[in-house]
Amino acid sequence: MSERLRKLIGILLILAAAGVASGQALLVSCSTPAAAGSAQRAVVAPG
Amino acid sequence: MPRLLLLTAVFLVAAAGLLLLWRHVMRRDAGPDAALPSPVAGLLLFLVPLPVAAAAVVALARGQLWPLLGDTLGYGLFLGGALLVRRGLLFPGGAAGGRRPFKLLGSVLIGLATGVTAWLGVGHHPVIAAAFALLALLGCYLTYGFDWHPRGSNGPALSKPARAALAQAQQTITAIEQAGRDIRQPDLGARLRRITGLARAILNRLEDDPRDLRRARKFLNVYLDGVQRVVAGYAKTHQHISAPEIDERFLRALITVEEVFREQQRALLASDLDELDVQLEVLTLQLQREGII
Repeated sequence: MSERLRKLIGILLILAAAGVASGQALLVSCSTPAAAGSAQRAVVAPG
Repeated sequence: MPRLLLLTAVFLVAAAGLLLLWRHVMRRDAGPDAALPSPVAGLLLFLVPLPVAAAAVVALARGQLWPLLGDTLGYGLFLGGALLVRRGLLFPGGAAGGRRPFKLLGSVLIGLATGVTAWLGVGHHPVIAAAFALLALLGCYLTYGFDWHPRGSNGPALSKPARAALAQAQQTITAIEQAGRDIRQPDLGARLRRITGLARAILNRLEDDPRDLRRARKFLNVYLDGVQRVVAGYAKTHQHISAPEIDERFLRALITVEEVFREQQRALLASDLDELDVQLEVLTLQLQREGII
């Protein structure tokens, strides 16, 4: 695997894991307190 | 509809930022300064968790206890991990303190931070949070690599005097950097940063293969000290008076030092010890002419 490809996959994985978790944390916090639980459930089990 | 527009804007800004970062990294990798640490090393790890900090603030404002705890802990771990990875990138090998695997420790913290955020901040099942953590750890490994070398697996071990010499050299480089902060001229400052970057790269090379250390002692003991004395002297003078001829002489000296450090690094990489000796003699003459040693 070339160095470039390795770095690209690594950055994508960081974004997919840390980035998604960060975004979801913000989404959950921004939901209203009453809806926070449903937002959490929606994140855990979409659909 | 406004939410969709906002999301699109955020996505576009993030994509543009990433594209710029990617182009910067790739340009550096292909350029002559590829061996030097980048000033934006590890920037991604500082940017990605910013929403967690915002989430913690929002959770605090709304009085949500568990999201607040999860987000605060997660962001703290993210920040600690990013700082450690950056340290590992800027000072690979950790010559001054033996072999501290900063990148490995930082990556583990990043993985932990991702897991904690997904578990406590978002509310995912712990198993899913663990999967997030492992993905983040793998991403850090692929992007930055790990700097953990089991004893004896990477060339001969460093002896105590060798470690002391490298630690001393590291301190000298730090002293050069500190003195360089007092110099307000951007071009001189940039050149000094390149020189200290080269010196660190040479030290890392010596730490990886201590067999070259004996031949490079002159570099460690004489040249680095000479450069440090000159930089400290110039910085001290520069605070009081500004003389163009002194500036020009200092710039000439820095150009010489940078060229020869670069040659030294190249010769070490090529294991060309004869050329190294020649280069050191050339450097001696040039630096004597400049009045550095």
